Amino acid sequence: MNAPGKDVPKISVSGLHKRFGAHQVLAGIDLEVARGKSLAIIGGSGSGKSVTIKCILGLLKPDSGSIRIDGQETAGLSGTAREQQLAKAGMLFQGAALFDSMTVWQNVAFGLIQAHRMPPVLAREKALAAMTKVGLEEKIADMNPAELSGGMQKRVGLARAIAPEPEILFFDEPTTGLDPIMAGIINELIIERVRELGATALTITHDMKSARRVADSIAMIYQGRIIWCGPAADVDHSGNPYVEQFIMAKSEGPIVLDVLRA
Amino acid sequence: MNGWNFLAIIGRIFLAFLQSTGHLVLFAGQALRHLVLPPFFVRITVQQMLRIGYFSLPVVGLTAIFTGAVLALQIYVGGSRFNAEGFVAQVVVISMVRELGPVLAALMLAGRVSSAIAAEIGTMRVTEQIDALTTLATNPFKYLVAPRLIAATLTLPLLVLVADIIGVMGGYLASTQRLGMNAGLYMKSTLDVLEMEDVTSGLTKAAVFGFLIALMGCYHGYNSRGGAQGVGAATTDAVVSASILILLFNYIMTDFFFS
Ligand SMILES: Nc1ncnc2c1ncn2[C@@H]1O[C@H](COP(=O)(O)OP(=O)(O)OP(=O)(O)O)[C@@H](O)[C@H]1O
Ligand SMILES: [Mg+2]
Repeated sequence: MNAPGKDVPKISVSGLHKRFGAHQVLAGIDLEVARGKSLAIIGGSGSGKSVTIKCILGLLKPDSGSIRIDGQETAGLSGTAREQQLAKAGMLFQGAALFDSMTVWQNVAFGLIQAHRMPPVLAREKALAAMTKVGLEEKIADMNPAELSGGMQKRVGLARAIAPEPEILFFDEPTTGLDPIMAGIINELIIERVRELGATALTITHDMKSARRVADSIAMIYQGRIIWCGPAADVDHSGNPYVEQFIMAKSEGPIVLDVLRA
Repeated sequence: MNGWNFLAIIGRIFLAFLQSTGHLVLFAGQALRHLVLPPFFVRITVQQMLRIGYFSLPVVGLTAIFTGAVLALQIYVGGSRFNAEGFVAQVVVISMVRELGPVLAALMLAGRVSSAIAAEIGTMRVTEQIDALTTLATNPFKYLVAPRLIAATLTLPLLVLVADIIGVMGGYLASTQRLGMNAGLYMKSTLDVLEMEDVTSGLTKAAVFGFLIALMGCYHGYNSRGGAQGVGAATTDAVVSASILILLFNYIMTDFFFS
């Protein structure tokens, strides 16, 4: 395999379309994330943020468009080729998505044991190390995920995502449903872990504080397209009325919620 | 006009039926492909065999013993009308082994196992655990579907073998205790009439039913949508469709063994 050059973006999406029945959710998403950079996608509820990530990960099949990881087209991949691409990525799900039939450490060690064929004893050690890195104590290792609070579950999900040391990390609303202090802690953990791994990160969120904190650049999705993209520092003076309305949380402006439009 | 509407409705139902049959066949094909290609999750398969087989023993055993006993009494009553009351043992063993053992055990397991599989996989679907499996480079067909299919296909024949024996026992108990038949004679008639083909055809049916039970649980669970309600619907659909398919395939296979 030829090593991709420095200028090839780690993730590059263009013209991504996805519809469910008559509902056109994505209508031509274009975005790029450079190696080692962190992009946050902001946008309202139901704007297609999760669908975008799921298409990039191959969990949903896009209708059309191109998705390149390290310059390699992944949209049509299947079988082992796709699994190899997936092994590069880790994901923290919106609802943590922990396996409830397994203990906490088995969750964290899952990728190591299944994908990397690590012997369980070694995987447990690695899992405990990953748990320490997200501020989880060893004593919860043998508990069931259902016994943990939402914030703790997010941390376990984060530990599970970073344990196999992926090159790309996806975070789907990492701070939603958490109190401001816990949200702040999760933000810091994300920044530290992404930096330590040297990973490329893609975060989707509607929490502006979190987007500003974790991302180098921010993209806003509206009606299935990226309508603004720029450095995180510029988001407050974007000059884009949609972005301004979103970050100021105003109910008046060009964005009309579907519920109000009816 | 109304006639056309009616035709349109029929057509729509028929198309929907074809579409869901197509989905199911595709799903089954994909499941079979992952069933034969490595890696295999042996430990999970054994776990599932225990869950499906061992914990279903009481239900299947109770069903079999009462069915065998009732069969003996009914055949005695019905048979006495044309002087056939002496054939209780023979009729009990043949109907148990060829027909009632596999079908009743499978229907009981459709309720117990299909629903459990659909609920488990359905919950994993709506809580994104199946997506999480995929992102951890683990194929859900290999990890979730294949072990359950193998486990149910291997386990159901074993359960049916137990059900056959217990069912014959039930007939034996009713005949000797209630109808006052000779115990030794009853067992001799049973063993004399029984042929190997009776047993193998029954166990073949059982294996197919086991596959259908797990397939319906996995299919409806895997494709469930929309939260707790979706999982509930998936569970019901799994039980109903598994039961119907069991009865349908029972006829097809009986016809096949008949010829
Ligand atoms: N599997 C699916 N089948 C049908 N429709 C879907 C499916 N997944 C998502 N959708 C629809 O796509 C739209 C976008 O969903 P998505 O989950 O991407 O929103 P989101 O931007 O992540 O919102 P939130 O911030 O609330 O998580 C929604 O209207 C949803 O109803
Ligand atoms: Mg979402």
